[in-house]
Amino acid sequence: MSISNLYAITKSVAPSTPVVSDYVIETDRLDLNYGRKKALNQLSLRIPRGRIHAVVGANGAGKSSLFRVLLGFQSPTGGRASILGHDCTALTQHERARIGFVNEEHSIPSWLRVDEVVSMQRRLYPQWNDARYRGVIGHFHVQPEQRIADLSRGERAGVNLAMALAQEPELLILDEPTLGLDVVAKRAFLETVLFSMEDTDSTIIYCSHQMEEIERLADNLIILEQGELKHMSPPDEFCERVQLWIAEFPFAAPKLDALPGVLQCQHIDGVFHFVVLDQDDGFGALLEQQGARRQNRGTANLDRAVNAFLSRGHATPAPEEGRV
Amino acid sequence: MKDLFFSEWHRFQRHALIVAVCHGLVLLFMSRITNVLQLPDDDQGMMLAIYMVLGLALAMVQVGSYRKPNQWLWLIHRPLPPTRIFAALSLSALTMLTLTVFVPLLLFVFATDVFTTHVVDTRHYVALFHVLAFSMMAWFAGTHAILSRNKVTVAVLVAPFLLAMHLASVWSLVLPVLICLAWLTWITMYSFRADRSAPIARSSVLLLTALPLQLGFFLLVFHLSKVAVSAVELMANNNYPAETVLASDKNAGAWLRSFSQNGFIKGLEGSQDPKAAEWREQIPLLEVAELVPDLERFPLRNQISNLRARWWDAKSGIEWTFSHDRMMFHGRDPKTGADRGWWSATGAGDQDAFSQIPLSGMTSSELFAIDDATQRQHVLLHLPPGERFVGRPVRALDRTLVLTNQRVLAYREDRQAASRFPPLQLDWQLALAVGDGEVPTVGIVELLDGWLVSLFYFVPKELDGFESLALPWQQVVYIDATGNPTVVGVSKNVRDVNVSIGRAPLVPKAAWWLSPILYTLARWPGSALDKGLTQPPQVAPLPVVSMFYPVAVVLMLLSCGLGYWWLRGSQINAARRRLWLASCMFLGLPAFFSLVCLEPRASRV
Repeated sequence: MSISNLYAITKSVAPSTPVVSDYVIETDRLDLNYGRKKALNQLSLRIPRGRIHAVVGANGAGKSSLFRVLLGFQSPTGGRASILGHDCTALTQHERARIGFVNEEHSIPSWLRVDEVVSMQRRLYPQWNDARYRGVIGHFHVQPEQRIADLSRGERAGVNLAMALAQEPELLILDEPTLGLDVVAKRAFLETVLFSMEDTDSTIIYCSHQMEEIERLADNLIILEQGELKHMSPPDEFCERVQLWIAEFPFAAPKLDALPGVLQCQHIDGVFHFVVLDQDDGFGALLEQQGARRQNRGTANLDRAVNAFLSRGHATPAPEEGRV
Repeated sequence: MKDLFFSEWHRFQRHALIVAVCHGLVLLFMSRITNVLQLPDDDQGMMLAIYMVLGLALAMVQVGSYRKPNQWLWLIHRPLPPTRIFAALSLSALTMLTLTVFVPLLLFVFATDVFTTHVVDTRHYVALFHVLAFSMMAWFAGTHAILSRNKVTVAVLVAPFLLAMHLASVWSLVLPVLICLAWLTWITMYSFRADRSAPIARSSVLLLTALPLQLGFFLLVFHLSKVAVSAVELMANNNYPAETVLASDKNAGAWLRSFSQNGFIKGLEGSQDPKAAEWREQIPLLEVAELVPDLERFPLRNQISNLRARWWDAKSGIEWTFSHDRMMFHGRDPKTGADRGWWSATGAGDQDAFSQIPLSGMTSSELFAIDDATQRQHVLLHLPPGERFVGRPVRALDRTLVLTNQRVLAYREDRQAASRFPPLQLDWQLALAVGDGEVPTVGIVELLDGWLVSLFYFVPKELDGFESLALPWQQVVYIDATGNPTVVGVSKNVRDVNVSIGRAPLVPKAAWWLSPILYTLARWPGSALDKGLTQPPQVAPLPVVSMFYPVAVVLMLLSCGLGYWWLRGSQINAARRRLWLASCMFLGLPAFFSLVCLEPRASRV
């Protein structure tokens, strides 16, 4: 399935008069330049309400820039963007009350105690859900009288997440929230996110480099590359598009130019591993034509598929011509 | 908002208490050494600068911690309008500055007032509010700079400095300080917005932000050029012209005398008067009395800081300090701290208030004499309305010589009078050649048949740019025995470092031609607030060194061209573009600098 087809899926459910938009996020040919660098390049994106949407991309792909634009902290150079149906450049406090945000630094005032921060947030957000806060914070074993400065990174992440979920936001943006967390804290964090989705109709935008997290959480996968949208579909669909072919070339290395859709080619222990995009069984025939013996077709997991997708064209050294 | 306020308070309360205690201890320590409330304006100005640095430092620590994108996002992304977030932060800053600056000062002034015999006036209490206001302005300026695209926007701080640098009454400063405070509050409030890098959208905010910035840039260049030109002129003029020295011996007194004598001789060189040659021969043998315009200003009532408002009676061991509330001197024994009564306009013990605050035994229009034996004060001389002293009277040549803004006067004592301190009797007078505002340095010698007076006039080009292009001119006047003046010599463009020293080269200079409009604007607070000056500041017309008018025009055109280049490809609307280009054209390079700070350049991809 091509990218344009994937677009068609989301476009087909677009309302004719989106006063209350079915999309939590809509961007139209969004540009953002930092000097000569294009952080976002003609990005057109529609993220529907509900579910967990994962945004992935290499460093510098434009993920954080996109969030800054969406939250109104950076004006786009061109195009337009809206969040919850409102223009991103003119968000009021009412819209901000409907949007939660957790970043990787878990920026909470370090000089306050946990209960002080929580009571501050509680008064700010009219829809504050105390039961939900208690439910989430229970996973992280944080005491109310602890100072934020004395919390571990994982505990701080827990407090941050608990507060964000207790605000009952319509849209929750999690920007690499598990960065730097240990395995236990990370698991607690992810379980909490999953658990929270069971009884709400919130939309979560989850940005991470950890594909096992994406695989576990995401209902929808959005891949950005150099500020452009490269892919948007459920993760399973993406994995179906990406195949792993393993073949042995006893006489001469394959000519990659003659093989379509190759994202990645690795030569491991005398065997060639091809990660290919959008190929059918005909790819095996092409390998045979190149002199392959004992070829095998498999599926790539999400980590490998995304990794290959993002590193195509520059990460894989080409095998030497005519030698194995 | 309340929570955010308390959060900030919680954050800094310990530090604020420590600073407050340290501040109190420093004031206590200083009070053991000197009378802090009566320190001269230079020292109190230094104290004010420290308080402003404290405000600036608080802004850097407090608001600077929110500068990083994620921290800024945490602060702003909440269901509160940014104005209320700003209000919470600025109120917390005000609370902390009140605790660290205002409260220790208030306690100190109050304790001095109640527990000591030092003079404490209402102005001291009012001045505390000014100190707090200036610290808060520094906080606003620092916050604005931290949150702006460009850190040099801290130059907005120049606007309050323009007010702070004047010795005005605390009451007349209230309105300008409040306006300045409101101004900085407004532009800082606007910098509290989610997208800090976006150009200012509202024209009113843009105007109010740009103007202090432009003034700031102008004055920055202005004062830098002042220092640079002073240094260059000093280096260029440090070769003393040895040929002008007539004295054979080399002691300092002879040197100084010979400078004055030389002035007369040079001034008479071109004289057509038949006696000129004879006078030139006599002058080296005569004593020269000098009058210089050394009184820059007299104190104003309720002035925010002090000129020298104390005098020390060594005989009685009393320190007399002027009270602005009572308009009398208050006596105090500095050793025991005992109260020694009041000194009024007529002397010790009376209750006749002075009409003006005296400085060195005189007000701007009255000269006093003090009878030590009876502790009475007498008026020796009273100038008519509109006339004021510009230099300290000199007792020389058996006369009391006086320089005012209109005349040179020579008085003799009335030796026939019954009183020990009768009013002085006018011997002769000489009207100054130029009207008010151009005060000369005067030399006087007594001849057998009259007097010779040499006057060096300096065109008031205080901010001209290059003083060497506007040299002083000299007039020599003969006054006969009946007091009739005759001009006997005029010299233009006097090039003599001995004449200029202490005047032109050391009191320069800056580049009005950088922006004539901002030059006038920057001088306006001075003309409005400096009421105590003996020579009122000259705001208009602009100095008249003609070669700098083309320079000013070229710089305006350059600024306009640079502005056009900067805005090329920018998305701003046509009206705004025209406004910027007009600013660059008429306000010159400072407007271009502010454009660079406030309008991002169109990105070129």
